[in-house]
Amino acid sequence: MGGYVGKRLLQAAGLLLIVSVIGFAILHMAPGGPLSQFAAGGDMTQEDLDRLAEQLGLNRPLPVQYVDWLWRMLRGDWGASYRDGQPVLSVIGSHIGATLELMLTSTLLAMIIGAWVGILGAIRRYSLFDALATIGAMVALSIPTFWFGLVVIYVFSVGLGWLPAGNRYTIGDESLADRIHHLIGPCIVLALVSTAVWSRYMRSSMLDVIHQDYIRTARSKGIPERRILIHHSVRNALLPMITITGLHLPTLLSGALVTETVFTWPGMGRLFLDSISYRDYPVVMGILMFTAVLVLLGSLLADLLYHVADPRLGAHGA
Amino acid sequence: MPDLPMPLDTRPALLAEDEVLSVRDLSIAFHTPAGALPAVRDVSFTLRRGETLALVGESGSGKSVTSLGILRLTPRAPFCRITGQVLLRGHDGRVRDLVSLPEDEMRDVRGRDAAMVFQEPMTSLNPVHRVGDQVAEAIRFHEGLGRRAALTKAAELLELVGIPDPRRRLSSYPHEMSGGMRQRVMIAMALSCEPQLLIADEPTTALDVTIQAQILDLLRRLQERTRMAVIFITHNLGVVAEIADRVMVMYSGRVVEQAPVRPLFGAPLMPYTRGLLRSVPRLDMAGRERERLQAIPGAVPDPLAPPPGCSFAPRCGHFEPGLCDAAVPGLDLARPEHLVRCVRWPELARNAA
Amino acid sequence: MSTAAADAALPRPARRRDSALRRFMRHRLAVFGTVVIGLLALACAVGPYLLPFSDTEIDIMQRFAPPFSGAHLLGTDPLGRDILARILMAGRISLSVGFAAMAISMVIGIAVGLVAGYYGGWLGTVLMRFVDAMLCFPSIFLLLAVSSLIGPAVGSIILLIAVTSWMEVARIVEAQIRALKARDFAVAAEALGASDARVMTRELLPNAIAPIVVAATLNVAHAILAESYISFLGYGIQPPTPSWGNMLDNAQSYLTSAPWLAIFPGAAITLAVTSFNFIGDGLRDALDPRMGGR
Repeated sequence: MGGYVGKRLLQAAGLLLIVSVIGFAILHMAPGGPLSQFAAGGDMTQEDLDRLAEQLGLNRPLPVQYVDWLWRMLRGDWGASYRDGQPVLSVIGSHIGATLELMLTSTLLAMIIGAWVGILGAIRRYSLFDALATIGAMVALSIPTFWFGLVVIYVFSVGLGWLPAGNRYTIGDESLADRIHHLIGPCIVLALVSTAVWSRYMRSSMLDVIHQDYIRTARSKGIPERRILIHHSVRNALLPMITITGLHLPTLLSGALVTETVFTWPGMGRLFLDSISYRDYPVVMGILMFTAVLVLLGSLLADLLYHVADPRLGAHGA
Repeated sequence: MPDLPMPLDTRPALLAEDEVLSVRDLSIAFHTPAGALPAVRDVSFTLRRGETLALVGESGSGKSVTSLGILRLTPRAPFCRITGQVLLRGHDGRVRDLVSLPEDEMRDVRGRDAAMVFQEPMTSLNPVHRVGDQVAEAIRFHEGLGRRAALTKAAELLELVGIPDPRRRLSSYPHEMSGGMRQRVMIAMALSCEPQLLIADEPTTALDVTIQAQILDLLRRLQERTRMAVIFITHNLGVVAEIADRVMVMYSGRVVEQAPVRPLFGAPLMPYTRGLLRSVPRLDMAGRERERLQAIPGAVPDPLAPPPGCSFAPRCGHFEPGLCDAAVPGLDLARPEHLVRCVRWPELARNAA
Repeated sequence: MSTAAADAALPRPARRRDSALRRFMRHRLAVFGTVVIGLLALACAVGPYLLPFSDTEIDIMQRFAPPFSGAHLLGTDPLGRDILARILMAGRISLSVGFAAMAISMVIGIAVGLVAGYYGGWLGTVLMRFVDAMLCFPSIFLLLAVSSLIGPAVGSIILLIAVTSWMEVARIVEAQIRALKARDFAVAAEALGASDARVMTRELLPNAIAPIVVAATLNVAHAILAESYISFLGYGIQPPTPSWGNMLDNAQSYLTSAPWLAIFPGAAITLAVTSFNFIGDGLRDALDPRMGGR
């Protein structure tokens, strides 16, 4: 186990290095480089810009700048927002909570519904339910999230008046009930794609498991079907879903950005879009790097969890 | 009254006192896109307490399907149809017909009155559950014991099948054990509720030769102790000679010869059985004889398009046109306790003598 | 069931003689998808010439005309422009962007996958780790970050989508090539003195064509979706050029008064993307029966 963790951590560190190179390259693609906002402001002469560039070390060779940048990133110095001068990391920190709340609740919803649909589809393979679930999942994966969001708002907020059309809570009302009320719409919208993914992978994972020899063994012992299903089939079929959930993280983050935009949800995705429109590049690049690191850590966590959960890999290691 | 035919399900469900199992006209057909596929046809045999019957044949002969069909572990009704009778004496002494038994009562029979050991010890145990829990599972369900009591019994069973340090082994996972050890676990699991009947489907095929001998020895010892009846499925005639009391040879879904082990090895009547015996190396064969080892030419017929008459005819060295391909031969009682399905057996027996 | 039961129960000799086309035609959803895409492409190509309105014709008197109630079949937008005409013109853009981005991403993905899979070693490792690193960036974040830095011309949008969606293809090709390379015919061709490029393009690539075709189809769906996302968010195709995504850009403000502004373009995207996904699924079943059946 220890050897595996070490190896996996080393891999993640290597990947992080490549991720940082890509991030640095994108940062330098900005017209005028990291100084573009000063140039765009128009209240600085070329001389001022040159002096500033020298002060910030922007006239040094790129590799030197990269190492310097990476060192600052590692120390937690991600620069300051152009808008209010706050450190980028604390700006992200004040928005990440709303995003995580949305991502976690919708993932939970997707797991419950998706697993259920997948299991039922596998044990009633080729039934009408299975066919409809298959088509439904394909359509769900094809619907643009923002459009689905608009449809949900149109039906449940405009039409039926059941749900608020946006925001995280009513101003002046900080009760839990009010927050949950606001969460329902975006949670459903973000869960759509994840539910489809879960149902597809759960179905195929279940189909793998229910044809295994050990299911026949359990049946030969006279164990009730219900216990075979839960204790032997679903228990085993859920294992690979840990990996799937990790792999799904980038898609989930992208979906969160769009959902937050449609529902004016004050999370990281909206912050990202706002920062783009203000040309607040430190925050834009900061969030871009932050999401990549989040994905990397997510897949690392999923791998480690899988190794803990699967006794074949966990206790004695591969 | 006398001209009324007797309805099928009122046939007497009776077994002689020392009989554990009686299979009568068992047929199993799979539903496939290409039509019904008869995997097993009209198989009948009985098994006494403490007796071992070896089921022999190539893959595709229907021997595994027969064993799965007895416990109704074949796919469910629309995909697979089972007809005939499987009479089994339960732990309570009652005789039940497993073919017509409702599914929930069938569950009480499985693992309790009749248990199974499968070919692949590597894949037949659930990889994510501890060995102890898997052995204890059947005990908990059939005997209503709590987890602790069931685990204590599981440890005793592991000891019985010769697993060292059984208490500690309870918390092992299957992947931490060797193939031989896993097969011992499978046997412990099958024996957990002291079944009347043990079906072992090629239990030693996947194991090393030395381990094979140990497992066979274990099965024999356990059988002496529990007096259970054993159906032993194998394609290895060496194993048959070692463990079986009686042998049933299957070909293309049908029984083609059935006899006690000595007459079957000493004077086989069916050309297919002879072929099988010729294809096995024996230690007592001298160098020249060894060279005459030969495989049976050809392959098992397509079950969807069987040849007319005897299904072994296309591969048989004694094939006679007009005779062998005319009709499916019946199962003749050639000698006491010796059944054979071949129209030419009297002739061939004379020639051999 | 791994025993004789399964072996005996599943011989389907008729199946082997099926052609890929027949298997595809049996996949009803894939046929449905093909028909829909065909009709959609045809409508976008010739439709604008047949309609009485052009997509740019502003008619202040006819603002917010509801659908199915007058001259404008799908209604009009806040400037009184005909929605149907705009959807058809937008379809030209969105479908072209989808295909063009797919083509470029396939070229990149196949090239990277081929080189990484064929040469392996440190070069292959570096390339594939680069692929892994690219996949760490959530696609919308990457698309928006870069599109905010470059000009929003149609060409650069296409390039941008392609540059952010070639990685899966590279992985598929790399895995296929690595597996194929170990097989005899590549070794034989190499032994006969064929050049690396020749072995790659003539011997290996044609044998990996099935998963590549499937990936290409799914990539079109992905590219259409990606375009709609960034256009909806305002960093993709810029008005007045219509695209399915940017038609929805302002629709949210009119959701109460004119919901059709949101409904029709979104339905067009869903229909097109679903169809490509169906076709991809059918192709997978048809071209590689081993992958199908699940």
